[in-house]
Amino acid sequence: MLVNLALAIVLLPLSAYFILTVVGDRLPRQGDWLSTGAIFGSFLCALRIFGEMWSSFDPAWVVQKTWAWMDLSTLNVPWKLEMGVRLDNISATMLLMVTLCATLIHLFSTGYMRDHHGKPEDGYRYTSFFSYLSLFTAAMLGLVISDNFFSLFMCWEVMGLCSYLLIGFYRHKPSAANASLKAFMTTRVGDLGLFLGLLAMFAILKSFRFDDVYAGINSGAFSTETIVGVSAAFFIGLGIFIGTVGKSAQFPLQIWLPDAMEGPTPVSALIHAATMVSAGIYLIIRIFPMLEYGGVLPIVAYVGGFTCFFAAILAIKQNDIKKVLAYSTLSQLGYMVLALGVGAYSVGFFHLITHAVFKACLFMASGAVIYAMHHEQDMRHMGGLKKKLPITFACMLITTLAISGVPGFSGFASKDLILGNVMGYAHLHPQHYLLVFFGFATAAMTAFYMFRLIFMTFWGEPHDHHHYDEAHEVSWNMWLPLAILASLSFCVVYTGSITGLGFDKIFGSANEWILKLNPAPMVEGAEGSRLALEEAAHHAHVPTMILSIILAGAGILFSYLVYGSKKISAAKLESLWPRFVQRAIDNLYYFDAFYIKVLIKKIFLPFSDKNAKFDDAVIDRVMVDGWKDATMVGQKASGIFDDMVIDGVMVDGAGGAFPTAIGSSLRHLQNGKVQRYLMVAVVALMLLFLFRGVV
Amino acid sequence: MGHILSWMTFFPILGVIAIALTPKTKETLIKGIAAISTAVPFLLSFNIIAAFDRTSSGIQFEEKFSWITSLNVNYHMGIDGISVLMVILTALISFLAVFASLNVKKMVKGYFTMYLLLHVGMMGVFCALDFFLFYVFWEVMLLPMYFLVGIWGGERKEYAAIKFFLYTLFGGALMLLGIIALYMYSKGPEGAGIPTFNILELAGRDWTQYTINIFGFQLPFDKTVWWLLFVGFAIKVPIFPFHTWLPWAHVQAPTAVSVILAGVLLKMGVYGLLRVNFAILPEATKYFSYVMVILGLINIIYGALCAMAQTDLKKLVAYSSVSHMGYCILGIAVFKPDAMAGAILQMFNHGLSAAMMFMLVGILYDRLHHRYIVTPQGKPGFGGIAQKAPWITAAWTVAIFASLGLPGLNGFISEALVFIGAFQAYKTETMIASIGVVLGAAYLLWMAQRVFLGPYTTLEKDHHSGVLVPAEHIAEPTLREWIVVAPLGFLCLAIGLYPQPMLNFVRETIGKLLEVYN
Repeated sequence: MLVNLALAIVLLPLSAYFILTVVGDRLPRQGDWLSTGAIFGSFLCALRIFGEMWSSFDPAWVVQKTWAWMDLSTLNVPWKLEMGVRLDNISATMLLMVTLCATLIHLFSTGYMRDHHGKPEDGYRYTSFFSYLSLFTAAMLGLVISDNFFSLFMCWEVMGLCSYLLIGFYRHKPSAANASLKAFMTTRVGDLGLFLGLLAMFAILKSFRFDDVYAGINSGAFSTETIVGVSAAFFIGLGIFIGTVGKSAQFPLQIWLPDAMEGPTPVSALIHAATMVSAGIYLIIRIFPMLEYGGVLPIVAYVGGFTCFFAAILAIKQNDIKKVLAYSTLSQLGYMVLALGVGAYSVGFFHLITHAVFKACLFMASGAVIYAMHHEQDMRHMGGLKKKLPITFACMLITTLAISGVPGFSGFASKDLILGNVMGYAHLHPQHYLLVFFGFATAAMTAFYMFRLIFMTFWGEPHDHHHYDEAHEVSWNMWLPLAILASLSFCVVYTGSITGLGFDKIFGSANEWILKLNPAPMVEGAEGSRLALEEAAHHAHVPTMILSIILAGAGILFSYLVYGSKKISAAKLESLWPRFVQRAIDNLYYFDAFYIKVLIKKIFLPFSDKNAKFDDAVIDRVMVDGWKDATMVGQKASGIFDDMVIDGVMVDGAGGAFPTAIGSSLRHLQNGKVQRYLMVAVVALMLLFLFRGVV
Repeated sequence: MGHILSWMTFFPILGVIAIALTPKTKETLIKGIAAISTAVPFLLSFNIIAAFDRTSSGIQFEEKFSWITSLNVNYHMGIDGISVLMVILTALISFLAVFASLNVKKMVKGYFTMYLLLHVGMMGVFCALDFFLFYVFWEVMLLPMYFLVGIWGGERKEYAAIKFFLYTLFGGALMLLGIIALYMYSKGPEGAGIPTFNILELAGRDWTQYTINIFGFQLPFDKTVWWLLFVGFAIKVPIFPFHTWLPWAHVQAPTAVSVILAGVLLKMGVYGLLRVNFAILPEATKYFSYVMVILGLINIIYGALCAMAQTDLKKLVAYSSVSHMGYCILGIAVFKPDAMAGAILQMFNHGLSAAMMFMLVGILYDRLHHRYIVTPQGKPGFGGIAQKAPWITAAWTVAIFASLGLPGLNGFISEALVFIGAFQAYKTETMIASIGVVLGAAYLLWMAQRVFLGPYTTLEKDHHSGVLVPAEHIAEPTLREWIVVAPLGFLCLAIGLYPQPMLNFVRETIGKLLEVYN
């Protein structure tokens, strides 16, 4: 029953995709309601599954079913590739989060993707937009219900396709085409790592299923094997983590996500904030025991820590409202990766959920602002919008408080736990104190740049009076999603505690339910270190909480002084940074320059050009001239060869100089002798088949 | 129905006769005859699909009777799990490509005569179980192909045709030597037995006991013959460094012939390797398997790099074929059932997606009369086609993503199976080969970006002056063109979602073929 519901969750948007692709533009309103309705249906199914999970409130709650998908078994050798559905606490929660965000974003898109007169913005492409959204949600939901890494990988790639199509949605814009190519190729590099990890997993285990992998780890299946000199568990873990690095835009494959903002804003909200990029985190959660067992976790922690830190620095300098949010997404994903890297499994998952909700809201709110401002995205041209867009402003403020980690909001609870665990981890392993610095510095910067966004957009005087005067609050289908997500950005939803500080629990059993329900799958021998981390995090909890509140407050206050009250000049502040740092930040640390200008344009493309020239000038020449020489030798060696064995065409063609001689020999063909040749060919063939020695 | 394979192979001969009796001015009638002559084998292939016993690893639909008694040559036809997919593919692609040929204007009668003869040769190669017969079909296919490229091709058709002809003839000659050697040695160690061309019988022999004297050198028989046959088939695949005929033949061939070339002809090489080298000479195959792994790897990477640098749309697709056939070579060379199934499926899948892509190149060429991604003057030749022709773009998108191995489409299944199997045997080599997946996405999507996305800058070649001028209008595909493209696209999706029906055909035969290898 629940399995069927899970399948329905995927099939509803998938069928919407097919229907919209075929007849979408003939439906009323070009079928946007179909796509939205389908995902709403999925949401209802997900709600039912979640309810089932909630009512049992048991960490071990699992429903699964498996089918054979590819079967190459012969009599002696079994070989099966299975596909299945697995519903556990993690997937049930993910399903609810994804379907909720997707439904609201679909609803938002029905307004956003229309122009200010309520007409579809881009003709028939309005249908394509919704069909791609549907395909994307189907893939994302398929990924979540997968019980194995293979179908997870398949959905993963299909999401990549949708991301490609949607980033490049405004396809007359060269920048959009570039961004979509960049996104697909960068994630493809990461996917290669993931794919190799999966190959190694299958080579050892002959299965891709989560359960088999966990059981394999505990039975020591990965303990003896080595692959290219490293332990199999390390190889698999690292490979799969590289997949996450690509998809969740972690260092050093982060370059595609900011460019992905070329896509329509609802796409940024759905794919590049709430769901697809967090699928990378979901993947780490699923492969977590392998990372732990193979010793990959420290790498994970540093990648995450470094990403969250340097992305936050970049966010401070952005003026495009969507770019601020893009870098903030990078940074927050880095937090999740950091949390998982230090071993805080449930905490990383917690932040994944809270972040998806408030970041989807932030993106849609920015979309509402952009819509109201007639597609102006530069914050320097905004200002004073809080009177014009009161609902949007309220929602954005709430979610900004959440992401900044202010008590009472969801982001506070999850981020605070991450910092506590990082601190605890550093207590246990003092050589990793750098991670603590990354974590806390980012917390302060996040509060700073997010309030910079608020102040520049909603506070002060309008900078562009023309747009400002025309701006007005968006219609209900655009603000309602904001309001719903903003209301889910309060701490109480997730922890049962109003402030999140813990002394004011209003419902006991559900207190921090995500943490309670989602313990990491057990790996043999990991129990000790997990308990130690729990212990250390517990001790570090109160000091980190105080520190994080202080840092968030300081960030907000500083932001107010610079961009709110303007007591401190932003320009002067900027000039305090050394020039080379400023230039590095303006050039995004030269990553794009290095990858595109050096690796691709200076090395890869010239190399492939040389390769093609080599093919033409060397391989082809050797084969052709080799032919000529061989035939010449043959001619000299035996005159008979020339007359009898090889006919005129062959000798002229091969013995003469290419291609002039071919032309002369083939001239016969064009002189009307073709008919004769054809006749000869046909007759010869017939004779051949009629000829039989003895009938 | 008896003799189904013979009917499928020789029915087009009736079409050839009918066309020969039709006056050349009645072009519509000739086209109709050609369509019917290929439709019958196509319909018969459904009978094969229905009646083929998936649980058997043996030869089915077997037909055998004596042909040239003095040489012990038999007319011996039959298919097993390896050839059945190829037979179906040949019937399908040949039927669809007739529709791609309907716009031929020059010498319609000759064109379709050659086309149907080509059909006979291709189908025969996949059905023949007698080496003599196999070779006859192999050569029968060569001549029509030569004329189809040389007469109905593009601006440098003669060069392309002769190049194709010589390469293939050379390969055929080596193969003939190998066949004769096997035939002579099949008399047994004492030389007392009756020699045979029967491929199935030859497969059971122990060839390692013989040596062969060439130019005074005593060489091991099986390894020598293996190379003769291997080079013969490698040219057809084509395996590096014998691939340079392919871009030429593809670029110069008319659309339908490119479709057949990519869809069917290239598969003969791999099929030959499996049917002959793998089945008859297992010891030598094992001995040289690493060579094949490396050659497959080179094909994948080298072909992709060459494709990356092409400025001619059709040449890019041609080099992508080189790259994709590399997966087949890698897949068969590792002797794992999953990789082998992947390789055979890859032959089928590439047959679909490459055929589709060449058809789509033809669709653009018919409208714009050029193929320059970048013109010789360095300007973009296409650009922004998505804005003017969204349906053409949609069809291209399916072909591109099927070809670059996107899950849900067919290419992914076969490539994944090849990699899954290959990784178990050769880890480092497979890791290097998997870079081809990234390169494949790179050259295809970069091409897509330059052709379909961005501002509209598409040029067309003016009929009279031959100068490239901006194209005002690009017509969407006609019904005739959809008839070719739509079924291929549908199959790409269907196989990608549920590949099991395809695997059912091959798995038992693969199990039997690999018995000697494990």
